[in-house]
Amino acid sequence: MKKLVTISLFIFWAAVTAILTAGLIQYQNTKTRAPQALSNQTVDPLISALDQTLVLDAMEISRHNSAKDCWLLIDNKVYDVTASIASHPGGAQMIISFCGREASEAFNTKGGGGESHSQKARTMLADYYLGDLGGKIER
Amino acid sequence: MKIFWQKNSGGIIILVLSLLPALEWLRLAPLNTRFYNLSATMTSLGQVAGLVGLALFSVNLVLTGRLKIFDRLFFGLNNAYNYHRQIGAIGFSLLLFHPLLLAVAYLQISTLAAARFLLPFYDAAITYGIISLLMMILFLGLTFYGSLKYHHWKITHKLMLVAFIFGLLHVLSITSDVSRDPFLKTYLIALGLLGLGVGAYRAVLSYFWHRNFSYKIQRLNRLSAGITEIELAPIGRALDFLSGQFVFVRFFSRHIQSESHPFSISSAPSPSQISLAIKSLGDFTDRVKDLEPGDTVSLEGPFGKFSYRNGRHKKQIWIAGGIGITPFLSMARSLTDDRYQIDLYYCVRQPGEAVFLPELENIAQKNSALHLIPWYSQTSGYLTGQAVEEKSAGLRDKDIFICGPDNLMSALKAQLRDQGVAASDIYSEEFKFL
Repeated sequence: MKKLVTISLFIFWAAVTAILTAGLIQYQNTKTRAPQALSNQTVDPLISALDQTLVLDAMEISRHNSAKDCWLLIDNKVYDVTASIASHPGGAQMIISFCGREASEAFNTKGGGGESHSQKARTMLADYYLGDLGGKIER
Repeated sequence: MKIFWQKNSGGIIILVLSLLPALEWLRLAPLNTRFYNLSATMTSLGQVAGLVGLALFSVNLVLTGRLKIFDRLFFGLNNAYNYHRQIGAIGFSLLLFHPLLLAVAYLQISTLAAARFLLPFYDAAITYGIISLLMMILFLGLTFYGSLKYHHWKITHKLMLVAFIFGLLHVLSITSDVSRDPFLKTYLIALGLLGLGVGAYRAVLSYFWHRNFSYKIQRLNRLSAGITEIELAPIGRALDFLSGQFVFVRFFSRHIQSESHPFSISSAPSPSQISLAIKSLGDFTDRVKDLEPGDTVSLEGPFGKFSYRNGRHKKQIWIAGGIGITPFLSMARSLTDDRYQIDLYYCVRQPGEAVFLPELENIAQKNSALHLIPWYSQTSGYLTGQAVEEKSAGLRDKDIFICGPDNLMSALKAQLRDQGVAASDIYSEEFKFL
């Protein structure tokens, strides 16, 4: 049993170290491309980058318009569905075409197919809820 | 078959309790949405690892309870502790893989997203989970790899309760199947609170609120080979036990830490006296010889199913390795029924270490039910299943009781199984379980 714990701990720390290091490198790459964004901050960049208030207005939503960063506006609520794109039963492309946009009608008619999404799909969507249109969130 | 249920009902209950959340999870959404592609599959496995891991953690806290019912469910409380160790390792490993598997989905977005997911302070619910896991890594790291003194180890192990509370906060605050499904939520809260209650009782409340027996030390017999036999007399009510059972003992003396350790009772059941034979094997047991008559002792128990009276056959083989003789001492001292036919193997390295041999020879002379076979490994080598089969003229329709060091027990058990003895006819007591 001790062997099991040793192996698990080894894999855990190896994976966590790898992901955090790769994340830091990626972060520094994006930072060198846009240095002005953080010029006057001295705290840990990874954390300070998260420490901003965002207003969920149309402008902000429209920035998240790609498969790698995809927000949807459905019935005046904002959802970050990026993580769910790959597993969308109706196909990834269906969602991607609505990233950064108002998608209430598409959601309620399954992309014009007529039927609305199931209750199950709605509860799954709730997982990705960010806030209401016009509201503020911490990032 | 009956003995199978007797020995395994606890394990089956644990299996059901810990897999129930996974079954409910399976029911909640169609499988093709759970395992749609690699990222969905990893997320699903991560969720199941978390659910089962938490259920096992809850069950494991309940297992610390030293409840009387565990004697029945696990065929001896000591087996509940064996489960505790195994479940602890499995549950901990599952909880380590929980965030790793979930991180895979984020990796498909970007490594930055995955890194952000693994760092605290981004989301309160995730932060609780991270705090919980880091505490577990610290405290269980000390348990598995640290060489702490027993009472320091015990403190760090009790702090696992704090890790558990953060784990519960994580489950209750995160948006997931648990927050969406009332059954899953209720079930995990109920199991979690049960674990928390029992764990807190064992860690803290049992010091103040218990039904332990108070005894006073009457006499200390400092025998050779580092063995001390302590005779205790009850201060109030006396403990009623079956010969072969063990108790948790806490000494109140200026010479010894007041911490609770399990020891087999070595005397025959009696309302006026109880004896414990303790061998010096470590820090704590080294100091037992310094106890003084008049010191008070608190006994919790009795526990265990290791008694010839629980066997199915009247023909029995008892195998004792070193200080593993203590439960057999109690049994031999109380043996009055001459329908029994018992071979007692007393295994030590050399004759001088068999400190209870004269008394046992005395009993064997008076009682034809007991046949004594001293075994000295220095001259005869380790006792083997083969040797037992020859000396005892067969193993069929006999119960075999084994108590001694780990390697003696595991070697003999394996040999006896190879010789065709059913697992249900072998009774063993690991007396080194905490």
